Amino acid sequence: MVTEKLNIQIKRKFLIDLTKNEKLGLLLVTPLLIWLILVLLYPFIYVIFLSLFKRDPGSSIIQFKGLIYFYNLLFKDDIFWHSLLRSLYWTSGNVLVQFFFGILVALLLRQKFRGASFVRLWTIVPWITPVVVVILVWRWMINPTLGIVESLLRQAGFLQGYLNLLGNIKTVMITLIGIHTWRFFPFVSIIVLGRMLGIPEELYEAAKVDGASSLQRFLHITLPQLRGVLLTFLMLATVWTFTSFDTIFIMTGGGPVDVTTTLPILVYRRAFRTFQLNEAAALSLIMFLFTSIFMAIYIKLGVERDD
Amino acid sequence: MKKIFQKKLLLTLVITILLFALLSGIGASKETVELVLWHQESPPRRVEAFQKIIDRFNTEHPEIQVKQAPQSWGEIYPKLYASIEAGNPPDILFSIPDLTMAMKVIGAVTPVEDIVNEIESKYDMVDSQIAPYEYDDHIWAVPMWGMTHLLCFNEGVFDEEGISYPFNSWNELLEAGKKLTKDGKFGIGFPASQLMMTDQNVYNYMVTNNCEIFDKDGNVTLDSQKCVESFAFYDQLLDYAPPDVVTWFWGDSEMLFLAENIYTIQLFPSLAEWMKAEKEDKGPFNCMTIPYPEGGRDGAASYSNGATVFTKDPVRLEAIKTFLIYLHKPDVNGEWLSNWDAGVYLPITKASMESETFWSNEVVKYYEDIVKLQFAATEDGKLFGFEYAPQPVIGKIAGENLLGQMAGRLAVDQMTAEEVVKWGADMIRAWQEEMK
Repeated sequence: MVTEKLNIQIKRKFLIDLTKNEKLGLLLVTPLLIWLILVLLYPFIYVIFLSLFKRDPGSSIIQFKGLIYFYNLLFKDDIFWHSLLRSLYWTSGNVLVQFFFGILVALLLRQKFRGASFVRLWTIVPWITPVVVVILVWRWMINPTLGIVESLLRQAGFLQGYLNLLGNIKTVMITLIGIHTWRFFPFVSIIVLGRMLGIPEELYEAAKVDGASSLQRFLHITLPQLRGVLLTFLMLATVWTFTSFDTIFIMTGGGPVDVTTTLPILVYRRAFRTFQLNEAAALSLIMFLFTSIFMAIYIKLGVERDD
Repeated sequence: MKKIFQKKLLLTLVITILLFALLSGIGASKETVELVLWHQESPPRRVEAFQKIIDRFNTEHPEIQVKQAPQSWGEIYPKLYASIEAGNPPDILFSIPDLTMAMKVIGAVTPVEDIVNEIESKYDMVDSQIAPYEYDDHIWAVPMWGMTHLLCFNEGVFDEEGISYPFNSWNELLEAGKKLTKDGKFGIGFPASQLMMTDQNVYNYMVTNNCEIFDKDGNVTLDSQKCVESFAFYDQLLDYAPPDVVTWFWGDSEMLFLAENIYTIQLFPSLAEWMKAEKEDKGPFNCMTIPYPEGGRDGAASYSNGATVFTKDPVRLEAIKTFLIYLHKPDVNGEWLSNWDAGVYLPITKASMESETFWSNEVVKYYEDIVKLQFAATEDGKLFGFEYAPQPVIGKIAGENLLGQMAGRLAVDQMTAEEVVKWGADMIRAWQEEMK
C-alpha cells in the first residue's frame, strides 16, 4: 500500500500519469514557462557565462577566466567601490524619504473632506506620467539659467547667483533623490491608504474611549496594521531603486564627475560604452547578490512577523 | 459534381503554388543582392533625403537593392555588438574611427582599400579623412563625409560690443568671453559633461597647442606641459560659461546659442536651423577657425565618417563597392550631403566640393563663407588618438569620454590643470596595462 502511494507520488513528481485536468493545466502554463526560460533564465545563465569566460562578440574562441573579473572589480577598481557607495546612498535616501512622505500623504488622504476622491486620484499622476517626460520637465525647471525655479527665486530676491542643483557635486544627488521621490511616493501613499481604509474604525473608537492620543493611536493601531504593507513596500522599493537607471541616466548621465554614477550606470558604461561585457556581467551579478541579500532580509523579517 | 469541382480547385491551387515557387526561383536566379545599411542620422528629414538617393540608385542598379535602417548613436554600440554576436551584422555601417577600430579589434571588419583607392583616383579624397582608418596595413572604412568643428559666434552681439574677429590668439577669445558674460548671458558656451561633444570641444584646444594623447611611438604624452596649458586654458574659458555645463547634453549648447543665451560655441553647425533663427531676428551668426596660441597651429576636431563593411562575401562586396562609389559621384554626393544637413556634413573629395548640386543648395549658398571655412578647416582637422597609428586603448578613451571627464573635474574645481592631465595620463596607462 505504502509502496503504491510512493509510486504514485514519484510518477506525479516527474509528470507521469497525470490526470486530464493536470495535463491541461500543464499545457496551459507551458508557453509561459518557455517565455520565462527565454527572457529570464537564458539571459541569467548567459550573464554567469560571460562573467567567467572571455569571448569577443562574433568570435568562437572561449577562454575560461575563473573569478578574475570579480577579483579585478573588488580589489583593483576604485570606481566600483565608489559606485557601490553611491548606489547605497541613492537607495537608502530614496526609500527613507519615500517611506516618510508616502505615509504622511496617506494619513492626510485618509481624512474625510470634500473632493477627497478627486485628490486621491490626482495624487497618483506623477507615478503614471512617463518617466522621460517627468525627468525632462524637471531638468528644465531647475536649469540654472533658463529654469523657472531659479528664475522665481531670483525675482523674489531669495537668490543671488546660481543654485545649479544638477551641476553642483554637493547638491546633485539630493536633487535626484528629491525628483525620484516626487515621482514614486504617490505609489506608496496609495498602497498604504488602501490598507489604512481597511483598518476597522472600531479600533480607533475604542482607543479614543480609553483616552489614547492621536500619536498613540497611530503608533499602536495604524502602524502595526500597516506593517505587512510597509514591509512589502520596503522590499520592492529597495530592489527597484537599487536597480533603477532611467532617472539618473536621463538627468545627469552619471555626472558630474561620477558623483551620480551608481552601479546600473556603471554596468551600462562598461557594457555599451567601453564594451567590457565580461566586467559588466560580473558587475551585474554583484548587483544581483545585493538585491538577493535585501530580499532575504525582508523575507526573514516577514517570516518572523508571521511567527 | 461537387467532388469534381473540389478536385479541380485543389489542382488549380497546386499548379498556382508550383508556378509561384518556380517564378520566385527564376527571380532569385537573377541574384538580386540586398544590402542593409545602418546609419545614425535618424531625424525624419535626413532619412527622407537619403531615401531619395537610395531609390535612384536602386532604380539605376536593379541587381542591387539597398535598404537603410536608421539607428541612433545612443543604441548603436549594443545593437551592433548584438548583431555581430548573432552573426547578422549589417552589410554597411556609417561609422566613426573609434567605433570602426572597436569592431576591427574583434575581427568583424573587412578591409576596403580597393574601394577607397578607386574613389581616390576618380575624385581625389582629402588625405586627412582617410588617415583615421588607415592602420595595420589596411584601410578599414570608406570615408563618406567629414564633420569639422568651427568656433561659431553671435556676430550681431560681437558687433554691438565692438569685439573684432576672427581671433588671432587664445587670449582674444578669453577676453571676448569675459566681456560678453553679463546680465545672465554668457560669453562662452563650451560643455564639460561626460559626453563625446566635450571631448571634441576640449580637443580643439589640445590640437591647436600641439598637445597629443600619444606621441609617434605610442607613448602617453597627455601629461605634457603643452597639455597642462591646453587644459588650464579650457578651465579659464569655463569661468565665462553657464554653471550647468557639467550636465549638458547634445543639443543644449546649440539651443542656448540660437536662443542668444550664450554667444560662442564650437560645433558642426546645423546651418538650416541658423537660417530659421535668423529669420526670427536672432543673430546673425558666423564662424571662425579655432584660434591658437603663440607656437600653436591651425586645427580642429574633425571626424571622418566612414562606411565600415562587415560582409566577406565577394558578391556582396562588389555590390557594396558599386553603391559606395555611386554615393561619391560628385552630383550625387553634393545633393545628398547638402540636403542631409548643410554645414554638418561636408563632402570630402575635391570633385564633390566643387559640385554644382552642393553649392546650389539654398542653405549652403546663404552660408557660403562658413562652408568654405569648414572645407579649409577639414584639411587641418584631426581626431584625438588618431594623430598617428591609433592605439587599441583609444576605444576605451573615447568610450569613457576621458577628455570630457577631465574637463568636468576642472569645472567643479576638483582638480587643477596639472592634476587633471596627470590623472588622465595615469588612467590611460592603467587601461593599457589592463589590456595587456
